[in-house]
Amino acid sequence: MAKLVLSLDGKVVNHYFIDKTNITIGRDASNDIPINDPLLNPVHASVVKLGRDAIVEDLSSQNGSRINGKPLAKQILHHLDIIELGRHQLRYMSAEIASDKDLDRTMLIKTVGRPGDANVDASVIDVPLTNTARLKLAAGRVEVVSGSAPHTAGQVVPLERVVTTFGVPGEALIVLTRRPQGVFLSHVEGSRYPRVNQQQIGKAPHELKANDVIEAAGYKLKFIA
Amino acid sequence: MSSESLRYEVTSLTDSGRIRALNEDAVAVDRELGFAVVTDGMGGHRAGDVASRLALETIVGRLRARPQQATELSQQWVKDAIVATNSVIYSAAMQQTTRTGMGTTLAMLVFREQQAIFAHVGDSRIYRLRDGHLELLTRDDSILNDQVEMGMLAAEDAGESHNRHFVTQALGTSEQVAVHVREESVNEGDVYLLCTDGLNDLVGESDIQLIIDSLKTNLPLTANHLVQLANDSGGYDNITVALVRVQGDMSTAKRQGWLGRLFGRVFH
Repeated sequence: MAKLVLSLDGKVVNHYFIDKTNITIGRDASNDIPINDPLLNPVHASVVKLGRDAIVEDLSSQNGSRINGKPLAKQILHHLDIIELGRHQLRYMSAEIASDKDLDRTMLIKTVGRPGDANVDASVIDVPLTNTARLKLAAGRVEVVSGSAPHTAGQVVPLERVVTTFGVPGEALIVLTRRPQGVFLSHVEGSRYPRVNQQQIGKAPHELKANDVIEAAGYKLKFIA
Repeated sequence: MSSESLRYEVTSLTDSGRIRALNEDAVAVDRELGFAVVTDGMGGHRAGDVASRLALETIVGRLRARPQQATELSQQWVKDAIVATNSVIYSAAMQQTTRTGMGTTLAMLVFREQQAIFAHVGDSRIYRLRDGHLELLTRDDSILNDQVEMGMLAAEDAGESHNRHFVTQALGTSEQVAVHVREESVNEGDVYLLCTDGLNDLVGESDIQLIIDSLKTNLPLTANHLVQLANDSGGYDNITVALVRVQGDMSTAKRQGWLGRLFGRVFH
């Protein structure tokens, strides 16, 4: 179970397990974590437990709180985070998170019922990607040697996104795909497969090399790595 | 557009990813009957694999056995079929101790004339690309989603949550299940994506939109690009996608295509 370790001037004062959903921190003795520090509000901050997350929030205190040296508003706690309140420090320790190799595995969590009917489809919120996703894709540009609108001859098209297509959908189309190991050309549709340096490529993606000349979908393109 | 005029092009792809040895996802698509289903199993000792396959087989069996009259198909029919599937998995889990607690997510899409019925349990998703814009049609049964909705957490902070893979309900883990079902009209040209979290955890919606919109005329290549990008981004989980593209009447499409090609040539 995760816990908060209270210390003052580098000396450990107490340990508090996060064993309930809402823990209050402040100067009042009635808090779950009472801290006798004149710089704190009577109820200064809270830690809310939700599943595997513990979320710390400064409750608009007069002197504020800091986390890892930065002003605290509300955020998810990570193993070994340090919350500073007045002259005191709380260190967050989460053995489960520190040792768990199974975090990517889907698991069921039992929760108390949400307000409202489960079948009511509330507005959909886009939850961002996991922060572990760090993608480095090979870069490249394409020089249009000849071709039709929307491109003009001599134009250099940077491959900005993960895929860039050339041609007319429904007719003849190719795609250049950025991957970590390189840029690949694939045939999307059309009766003829693309040619690279005058050799026809097949259905499989073809890795491009610097100065390769592509002829496809009415275009002649030069790949610049 | 008559009820006979809609045609579907479908494809599916599932991959164990780059970390897991086992693929606990399952997928089925049917062009003739017009449906797509994805499931993502959970539970140790290969039980997740059993649950996701059992769910898929049960629901697909029901879809194939239903009377062909479109009027028979309704949101209630879909909900009942999923509730029945839940019972099948729950009973199987009760019978074997190694399978206790096994469960699975499920996302399904079934067409009824010019309507699409969507249903899901857990955090498998359904997106729709319409007029170049991708829209998420399902709301995850996940604690992370609940945290964001209840204002416990800012959406931009959710990426660092430890709760990413906690679903708040699944098929087969309890006697009861709350199925989310809705229905919307279908447009010609719509592309529907059903996926497990192995895709949407690693590939952003702007990239999903770009890939589908750019490559939709070749659905297998589209599926391949989605799975490949998830793998290139780490491939931490099994990745499964099902794609359905709605086309108009084939003869009409061909006629328009021929004229379109002619005018395309003239005006380019």
